[in-house]
Amino acid sequence: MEDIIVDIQLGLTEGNAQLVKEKTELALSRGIKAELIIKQGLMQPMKIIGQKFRTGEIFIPDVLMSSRAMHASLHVLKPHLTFDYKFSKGTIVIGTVAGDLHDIGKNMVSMILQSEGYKVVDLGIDVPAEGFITAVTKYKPDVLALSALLTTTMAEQHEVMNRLTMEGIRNQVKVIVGGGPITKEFAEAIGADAYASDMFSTIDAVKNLIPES
Amino acid sequence: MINDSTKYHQDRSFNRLQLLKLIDKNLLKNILNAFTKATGLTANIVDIEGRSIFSRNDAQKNCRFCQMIWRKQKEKGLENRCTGSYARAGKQAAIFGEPYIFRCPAGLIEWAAPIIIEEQHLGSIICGQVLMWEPEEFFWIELKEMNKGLTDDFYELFQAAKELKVISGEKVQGAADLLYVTANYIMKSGWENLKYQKEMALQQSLLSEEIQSRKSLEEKLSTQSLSLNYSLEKEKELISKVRLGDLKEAQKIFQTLLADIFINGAANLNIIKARILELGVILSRASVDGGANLNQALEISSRFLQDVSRFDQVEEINLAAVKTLERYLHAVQNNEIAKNRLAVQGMKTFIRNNYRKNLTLEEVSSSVYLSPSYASRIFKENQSITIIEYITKVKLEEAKKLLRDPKYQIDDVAEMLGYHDASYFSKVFRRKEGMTPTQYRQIG
Ligand code: B12
Repeated sequence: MEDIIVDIQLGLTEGNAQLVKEKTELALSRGIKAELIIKQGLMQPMKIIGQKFRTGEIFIPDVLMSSRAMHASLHVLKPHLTFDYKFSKGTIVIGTVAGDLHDIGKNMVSMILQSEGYKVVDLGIDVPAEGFITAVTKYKPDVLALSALLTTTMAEQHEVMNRLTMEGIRNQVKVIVGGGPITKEFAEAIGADAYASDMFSTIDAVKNLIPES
Repeated sequence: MINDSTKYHQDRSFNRLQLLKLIDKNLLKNILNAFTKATGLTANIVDIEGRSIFSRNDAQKNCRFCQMIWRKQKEKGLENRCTGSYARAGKQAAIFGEPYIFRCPAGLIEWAAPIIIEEQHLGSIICGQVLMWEPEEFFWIELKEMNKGLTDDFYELFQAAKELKVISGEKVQGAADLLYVTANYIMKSGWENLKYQKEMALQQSLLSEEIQSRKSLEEKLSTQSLSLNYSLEKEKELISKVRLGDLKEAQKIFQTLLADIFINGAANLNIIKARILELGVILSRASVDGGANLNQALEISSRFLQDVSRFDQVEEINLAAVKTLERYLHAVQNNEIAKNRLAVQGMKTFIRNNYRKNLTLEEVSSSVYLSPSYASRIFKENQSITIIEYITKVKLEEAKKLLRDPKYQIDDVAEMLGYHDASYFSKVFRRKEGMTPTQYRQIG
């Protein structure tokens, strides 16, 4: 593997935001693809960080520092992912469900969707079902994207689905769900239209949901 | 991209006074100051909406960075940026039951610990306003990004940010854990306070009940002199119940006497105090008569004396009196337990000295001058086995010793232990030890 990628991984693990930022810039200037940087440089170590956090090897302050380093890298990558499209391919409302404050994954999904030419309305984190309903009525998006990273907040996705049905707007919008504990089976069980395991497969899934006219 | 972080906060009708009602403001201030002294970090207490429960004068001073942010937010009508994040962090801490470490909207590291009393989340302690890294180029980018709605001129803010404390992640975790301990301390005092208030309320309702029934009784008899005689009579009854250690009955009578004192004392605190202290003296004597330890009784009465002189509210005095009665009765009951323990020890010694006889329950109980039934009960309570079982146990221990000596026949052993019938002895031995005496001897 490329040395620079290894440096990014190490920087992320140590939570050294400045180093990760500089190494990401260097990697881009050497022609390394953003996709590779994300997959190997960022997501791989983040997975290990999650494991170490669970086993008590590291604590929240470490995770916060690594998250910050991840943001530093994404800050550099963002302009390389977004383009100006004349026509929007569709509107997507995205948010992290109530009780959940994780936003790195959601931000990445939102970033890649914008880079693909969709208009994205980001509701942020800790969004109650109410908020999603209001946004669907207000922005009339083609797709509603829900993120949840905690096993304790997965059920909130179901709650949003129920609310959509109750309000009689379920058939006005396609719903895609994702996040750490979410599986294809879970997505089907709660009646979502699609599921994607990472930002790259999200693109294909959304393309399927919004047929190009 | 469009950012739409409209506030979806549910209506929370709590007010910040909830916590201050339970815990004295000065106590809270002292606790926070102790924390600040220990860690060098500022701390604040917020209600569940994230607003400080202190007035500006009482609160600890924020860092210059935060003061600037606060001012700018105020100009833009965005005050709830800080409070919102405190509310959210406090809620997370309450949900997960541990300190919650987070990045505030302006970019600093802070942490929260929940204050939960009687399952109600009343507020949180917030601490931090630090960084976990030396401000680098990326931090200036972050600051601009995170505070872009507030200002265009970042020079001042950057200068203020350079003054922020930088501490390691480890220290942050440590300080967060300490904050949690601090919050627990607050919760404990709050909980005790709440308990105290509840007890006081209960006591007041008992008192009012008593007054009501007294009133109807007086109406029926329509006598004026009732009160005095009635009180003397009741006092005598109280003394006898205290002597017997009968808490329930004593409490009932005590309640009527208290009602008497409060009605007749009208609003005169000094009279009420004097009469209630009189009652205390009576209780103290009765408890010693009932066998309470003299020193213990003295301790209880001196505490009562202090309480009564220190309190200046009838409710508090009332509750102190009720508590005092309970303490005296426990002293009487404790003595009972101690007495019982002595008697049980006496019986055990008697059994161990006389196991060679065919002991009866009557013999054992009369050795400590108790009736067989009372002796049986306290023995079982104290030792978890019956007297007869204990006798058998002692005998079998001795039997095992004797069986190890080949000099004795099984018959001899049985006889030495007061068993007239050797086969009965064998049966008992087998039931308790899982083998016959002969088998035991072979193995041993
Ligand atoms: C970083 C992190 C944090 C950071 C979050 C910072 C931030 N701004 O987001 C902080 C420190 C704040 C944090 C807090 C907590 N965390 Co945390 N956190 C993580 C960690 C290590 C990484 C998450 C992450 O960002 N991954 C990187 C991104 C890119 O991956 P991703 O989120 O999975 O997203 C990808 C896909 O899932 C998918 N995707 C995501 N969303 C969506 C949406 C759609 C529509 C689609 C299609 C796809 C999709 O695409 C993304 C890109 O490929 C995970 C562990 C892990 N490995 O997941 C724990 C983890 C999620 N956290 C955990 C816990 C327990 C917590 C806390 C409760 C800890 C605490 N006691 O304070 C709090 C909870 C706060 C809350 N209420 O939300 C647990 C969850 C356990 C559980 N019960 O489910 C985990 C799994 C760690 C663990 N192993 O224990 N955490």
